[in-house]
Parts: sequence; C-alpha cells; structure tokens
Amino acid sequence: MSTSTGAPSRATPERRRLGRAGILGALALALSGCTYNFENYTGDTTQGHQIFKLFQGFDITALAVGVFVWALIFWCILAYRRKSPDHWPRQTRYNMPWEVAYTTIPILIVAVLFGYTVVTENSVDAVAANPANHMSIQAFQWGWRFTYDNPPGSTQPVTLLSDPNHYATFEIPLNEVTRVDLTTADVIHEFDVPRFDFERYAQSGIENTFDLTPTQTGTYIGRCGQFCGLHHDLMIFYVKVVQPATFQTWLQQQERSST
Amino acid sequence: MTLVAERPAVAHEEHHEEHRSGILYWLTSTDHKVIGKNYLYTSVFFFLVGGLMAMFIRVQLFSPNNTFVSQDTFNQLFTMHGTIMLLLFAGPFAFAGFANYIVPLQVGAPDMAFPRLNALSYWLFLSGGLIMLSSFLVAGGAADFGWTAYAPLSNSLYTPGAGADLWIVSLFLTGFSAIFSGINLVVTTYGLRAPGMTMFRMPIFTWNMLVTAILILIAFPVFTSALVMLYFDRHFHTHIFETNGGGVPILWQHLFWFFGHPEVYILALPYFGIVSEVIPVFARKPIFGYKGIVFATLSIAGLSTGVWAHHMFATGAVLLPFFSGMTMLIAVPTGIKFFAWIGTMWRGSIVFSTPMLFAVGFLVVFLAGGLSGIILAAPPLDFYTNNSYFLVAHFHEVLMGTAVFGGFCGWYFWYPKFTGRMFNEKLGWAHFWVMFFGFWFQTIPQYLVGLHGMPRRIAIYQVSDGFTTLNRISSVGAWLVGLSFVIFLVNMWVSWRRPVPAGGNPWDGYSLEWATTSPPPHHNFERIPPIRSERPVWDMNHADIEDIQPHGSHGSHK
Amino acid sequence: MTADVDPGPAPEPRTVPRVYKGYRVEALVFLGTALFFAIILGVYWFTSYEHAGSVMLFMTVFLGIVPGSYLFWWGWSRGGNMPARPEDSDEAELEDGAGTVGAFPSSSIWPFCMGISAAVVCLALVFGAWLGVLGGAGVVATLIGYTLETRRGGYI
Repeated sequence: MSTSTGAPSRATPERRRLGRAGILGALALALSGCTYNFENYTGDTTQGHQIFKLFQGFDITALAVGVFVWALIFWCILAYRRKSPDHWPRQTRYNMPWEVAYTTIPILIVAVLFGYTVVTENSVDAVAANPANHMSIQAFQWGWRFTYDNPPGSTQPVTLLSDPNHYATFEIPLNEVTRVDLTTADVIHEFDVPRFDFERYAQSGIENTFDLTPTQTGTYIGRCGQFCGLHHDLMIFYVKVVQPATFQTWLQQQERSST
Repeated sequence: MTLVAERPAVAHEEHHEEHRSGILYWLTSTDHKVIGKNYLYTSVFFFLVGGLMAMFIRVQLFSPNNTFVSQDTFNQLFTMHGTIMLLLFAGPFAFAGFANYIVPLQVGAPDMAFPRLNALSYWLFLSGGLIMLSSFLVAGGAADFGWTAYAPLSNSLYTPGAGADLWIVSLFLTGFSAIFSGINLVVTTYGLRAPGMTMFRMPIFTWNMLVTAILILIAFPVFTSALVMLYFDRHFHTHIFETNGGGVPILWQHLFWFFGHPEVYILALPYFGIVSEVIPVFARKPIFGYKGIVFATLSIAGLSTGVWAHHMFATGAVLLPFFSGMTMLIAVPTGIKFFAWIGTMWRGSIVFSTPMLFAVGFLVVFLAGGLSGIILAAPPLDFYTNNSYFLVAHFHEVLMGTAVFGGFCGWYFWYPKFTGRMFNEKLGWAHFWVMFFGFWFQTIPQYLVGLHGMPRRIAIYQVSDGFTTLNRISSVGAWLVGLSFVIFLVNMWVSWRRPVPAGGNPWDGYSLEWATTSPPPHHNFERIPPIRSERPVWDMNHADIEDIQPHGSHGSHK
Repeated sequence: MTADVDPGPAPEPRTVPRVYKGYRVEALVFLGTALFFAIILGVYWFTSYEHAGSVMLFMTVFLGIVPGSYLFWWGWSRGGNMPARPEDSDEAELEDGAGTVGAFPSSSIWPFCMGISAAVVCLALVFGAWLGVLGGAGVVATLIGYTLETRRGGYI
C-alpha cells in the first residue's frame, strides 16, 4: 500500500512549532560558533592565527553540513519504519530537481571553501623581505640544532642543541619576523609547534623556509611530527617568545657561553 | 508461460572429474565461491591479528610513560597494524572476498573469467600474508618504519634487518594478487554477464567492484615498482631515494601516495557498493538515482588518482592549490552517493535487521570522517593537524566506517547466502551497538587530543602533556570495539552449532544471487530470471508493484 | 515429451533485437578514464614543478587508452560486423545466451604450486639466492604444468 497521496499531513501544529524552535536554536548555535574555538589552538603567530580563522570557518561549515545530513538520516530512521508486513512504498527511482540540487550545491560550497583556502595558504607561506631574526633549524635522529645565523654584534652563528637528554629552549622575539630554514641531517623529521598551529617537514634535498611572527609571549612545547625511528617521541624542544630587548640580551648571553 | 528459462552454462568439464574432498579439494579448487570464502576467512583472521595489535597499542597509550611495550616493539606494532589492516584485511576482504563470491552471481555468470588466475591470487595473498606475519620472528623484529615506509628511514642504513625486507616481498606478492584479482573482475564484468544484463542494469555493488578493479590496475603497479626500487636501494647500492648519490627521497612519497590514495578508495568503494545493495533491500525501494551513483563512483575513482600529494602538504614541495582543490572536489560525488542512499530510505519501509543497522551505522560514521577529511584537504589546516591524532581519528573514522561497519554489513547480509544458515539477530544487535558506542568513545577523544598537539606514532607521552584523560577514554572505546568482535565470533559459533536454515532469499533481496540456493550450486544457477532492471529477483517476485522509471519508459532501463 | 501432446505451430526463429553496438559502455569507461586523466595531466604538467606526478598520470592515460581503444575498435565501431551479445540487449531472453559460456577449469593444483613457488622466490630476495634456485625451478615446473593443463582442456 502506497504512502504517497491521501496520507494525512505530517505537519501538525505541534510539529510546526517544534520545527521553528529547532531552526532558531540551530541558528543560535551556528552564530555562537563564530566565537567558539572548537578546541583548536588560536595560533600564537600571525600565520597561525590565519590558520585558526580558516579552521573556524571550516568547522562551522562542516558542522552545518553534518548536522543537516545527520538530521536527514535520523529522520529516515524515525519516520519511515515498516508499519506492517504489507507496507510497500512507492518505488521512486529518481527525482531530477533534487539530484541537480545535491550535485550543484556541494560544488558551490567547495568552491567557496577552496577560495578561502588559497588566500590563506598563500598568506601563511609568504616570507617577508627582511626578517628581523634569521635561524637555521636542523633536525637529526633524535634532536634539534637551533642556529641563529646573524646574531647582532657577532659574525659567529649561535647554536643550541636539543636531544633526549636535554630538551633545549630557543627564544624568538615577539611581533618580529623570524625566518627559519629547516633542514635535516638524516631522515625526514617534522618541526611541529602545536600552539603555532604549524608543522613543516625537514627533509634532505629540500630546504623549507618559512616565517614565524609570534603574537603572544610564553613558552611553547615543540615536537617532531614525522615518524623518524626509535626515539621519535623524545624529540621534544621548547620555543620561548620574549620581548625583543629580552631576546637580544639572551642571544648575547648564548654567544658568550658558547665562546 | 514460464518466467525463467534455462541457461545451460556448463563448461568443458572432463567426464572423469570426481569430487575431491578435504584438503586436496581446498588446494585445487578454482570455484569462485570457495576462493571467495577462503579470502573472507583469511582476511578476517588478519583483522583479528591487526586488531590485537591495536589493543596492545591502546594499552601502551593508556598511561603516560607507560612501559607495557618497548619503543621498538611499539614501532613494530603500529607499522604492522597499519599494513595488516589496510593491505591484508580491508582490501582482500572486499575486492577478493566479497567480489569473488558475489560478482559472478550478480552478473549471472558460472564463475569468474579466469578461475585458475583467481586461485593463484588467493595463494599469493596467503603466502604474502604469512610472510608478513613471519617478519616478527626474525632478528630485529618486524618492519618498524610505519606502513608508509618513508625513505630514507626505510633504507638499509636506518632500518637494517630482514624484517623490512620481508615486509617488502610480502607486499610484492599481495600486490600481484590484487592486480590479478582486478584483471579478473574487469573481464568477468565485461564479458560474462547474463542475457539482458546491460552495463546499466548491473547491480551497484558490481559497478563499484568494476571501478575498484580499474583503480587496482592504476595503483598497485606503481606501488610494486616503488617496492622494487626500495629493495634495490636497500640491497643493490642504488641511490634512488637518497640524496648522497643523486637521488630524491621525496620521490618515494610521490610513488607511495600515488598508490596510497587510490588504495584507500579501493578499500572504500566496495563497501559503498555493499551498502548500496543493503539499503534498498531493507527499505523496500529501488536504489535512488542509479545513474548518478554510477557516474559519482567513476568520478570518485578519477579524482582519487589525482590527489595523492594531499598527504604531502607539509613537505612544502607540492603544488598546494591543485591537490587541495581536487581533494575538496571528491566531496561532491561522495555527497551524491550519500544523498542517493538517503533518497533510497526516504519514504521507504525500513526494517532494522542487522545488515541495515550496520549500513546506517556506516552512514553516520562515514559522514563525520568525510567532513574531517574536508578540513584536512585545506593545506593551512593540514599544517596544523598533519601528523597528529586528528589525522589518525579521521582515517580510522573513514576506514572503520567503510571496512568495519560496511564489511560487517556485507557479512551479515550475505552470510545466509554463503552458508545457508541464519545468524542470531539479538547477538547481531549487540555486536552493532557495542561497536558503535565503542567507536565514538575511541574517535572523538582522538580528534581532540590531536588538536591539543599529540603527534601520531609516539609510544610515550608525559604527564605534563595533558593527553592522559583523552587517551584513556579512547583506549576504553577501542577495547569496546574489540569486545564487539568477540560478540561477533560468538554469533558465528552459535550459528554454526545451532543452524537455522536460511533458504534462497531470506531478505527478499533484489539481485541475482538471491535467485539461487543458499549456498549456490556448482556453476551457480539452475535457472536465471529474465533481466529487465538492476533488480531481477524483485521484478520476478513483485511484478505487481509499479516501478517508477525515469522518462516514463517502463522496463527499458539502459 | 510425449508424442500425443500437440506442440503447436513452430515458434518464429527469434533474432536478438540489436539495440546497442557491443562494448559501448565498456569502452567508454576506459576511454573516459583516459580523457579525464589527460585533462588532469595537462593541468598538472603546466602548473607543477615536479615530474613524477606527470609521468604517473601519463601512464594512467595509457591505462585507459590501451584497453579502451581496443574495445572501441573491436566491439563498438565494428559492431555492425559483430553478432550482438545478448547481454547488450534490453529485451534479450535467456535462451539467447544458451550454449557454452566458456571454459572454466574446475580444479587445478597449479595455482597452489605457483603461489608457493613465487613465495619461495620472494623469500630468496630476503634470505639468499639459494632459495631462488629452488623457487625458480618451482616456477618453471609450474608454468609447464599450467600450460599443459590448458592445452589438455582444463584438467591435470
């Protein structure tokens, strides 16, 4: 027995009220998403902050799409249960308007997301012309060498070593551009500072260059992201963001202690 | 007038073929049903092995500074867990287990196109799989460089030892096994269909297996070649993947992921096909938007081959917009399929037998996994989450959604056909709900702990990291999933000890496999019903119910 | 069939209504693959700065062209000379497909032997060339057995 025409309307007054309340609630939730950080780190560099903003947009879109499709699925589960062994529904195979809609609307959503993505990635990967601080970071099994290439008042670079026996803390100045050239001595590693919302591979034959412009003081933990062998989990380091004046003092101290 | 007609499809059999029994029968059989069952049982065995490894991993990660296993053992565990689950379980379960058994039945053929090649595929798979497991026994243990085996970590300098070489040769064997299965599937689908079964009347499962076979032919040879190159680097002093010598380490990543990404669609598409069979049957409606699904599947296959470097965004050496755009585009055909499944359920008459439970579970889980994939498709967001547990949660969500939820969906759906018996519905319910809840407890904490900065593939984390609570919840969830598998095994044991006959068509199924006995006889069909749509058995049993065809043309579904 | 039942007038010889040329969709699947990858290859070749991907995409175009063009030429474009396949027709009846479907060897020891031999050859890559001698001998013996079995019609 078909359930198409002749069936009583499902949109009873109570259901209409519930539907309106649901839509308003969903809208409120969606708008509040603009301020919620979805458990992401806000990215304590300018680059990381752009990543965080993009992430917020993606999270909201993903949640909206997800809630919509889950609602459809749960509606089917609840509303279309078999009523009797002789319940034979209408054998619909197609509905062209819906098929066109569910093909084109996702394309539009993807196009918008893609547009924002390209803008953000170009901005994140852009390197400034004159960085205030220039570093080379070399990863090795299983630690890091942080080298300041042009410390003020000295021709010798300053190097800090971080390994499983001693996790080093290297400092970078607040609100200034630190240029990093990332290399490896052996296998592929990954420079990963979660609070900067940022990771980049260190691999032989490819020197990765990126900028970090921190916006918040503090000490942040860093890890190796790419699996690199036995003590991959012990390749920890710390990066400390300090005022530029403090940074200069610290760097001069490092120079003195290394000579 | 009879509805069905003879299709004597007897091969050139020798007169003196006697029925061989026991082990000799098993060793020499080329019957696609026997081979399919071999693959199913063997890959479920590998699922058990890989699953045990996962349980051990989650024990190690239960507490900070845990010493349940050493770092070296942990590295072997996650490497082998990944390799076994992806290449020895999820793939063969679908494109060799279900496909071998079901595709010839669904197209109305007496067997696969090349039965001996089919048998060879199985023996290559079994020997490759056993060699993979044996790598635990050699000095130095199994391969421990992650299933992705990035160079230069995987060369002989950083990973000496036979374990890695056994890993390589085992995948060599299973790779050829897959390629031969792919060839068999294409030729069977192209050349052995029953009269009246045009390409656009094939069931969606068969279409998906055809597309999977083409993806296998695209992807596996690249992987096999890369393995040969890696072997040469390790043993014949070539420098293909080493800079000192003029090589390019990142080439391994390009080769591997050109295989690796289609590989995950090779894993996913068969289970999409299974769900496309189950939902219509249990909703008592035809599949919605048949041609849309076919074109969407073909699009997914094409796009998936063009997105390999989205696994390499953080290398800084790939063309970001190309790969992120192509990756986001895959959401479109996947969305088409999702809406087609929902459209099938819409205004249907749904009963939640165990296969349908798992199908809906698949829909719920895969949706979330796909959405987190869109997030990862954006390079800036990938810079944040690349090698973290966010990624781990994403791929477990999509893989478990397809291979585990979809796989069990197919298992429960076709179990009556394979064995002639029914299983216990209550235990099937218990299996589903324990798995479903366990799965969410496993996955959501992994998303969160990844966003909080926990990288993947680490054996030890510190108390000060703040990862402990989330890891503990995730471990409990994973153990619940393991428990659900025990319930499944109990269900199978109960069904074995107290058989309940299933009959030819216990679910009122649609496609040709339900037109024969359970299990089917040798050469599959005594009689085949006339084929006028993608669901000939429905047409035969429910000729009185009107079919709503596109363009109003009744019966001539192209 | 008893003699005293009148079977009625002889049925008209039924010709399969040829609706499609053979292998149309089959060829299109492969040719469409080739075209799709050719487009992607074009985009990738001109925008990317690495070659491995272009090579792999180029080979994938070939993967589509080789079987696709064969099916197109042999089946689709020559469809007028080829008897229509019952599975390509919308209105085909089961009798149209009657007769021998093909040769399906129903049991054979050679796949198992080949599997074992191939595994031994692969183990030789790990444990030493002496295994390769054994495995190689096995492979050769199995190839001979396989071929002889095929020539004999499918049984050892």
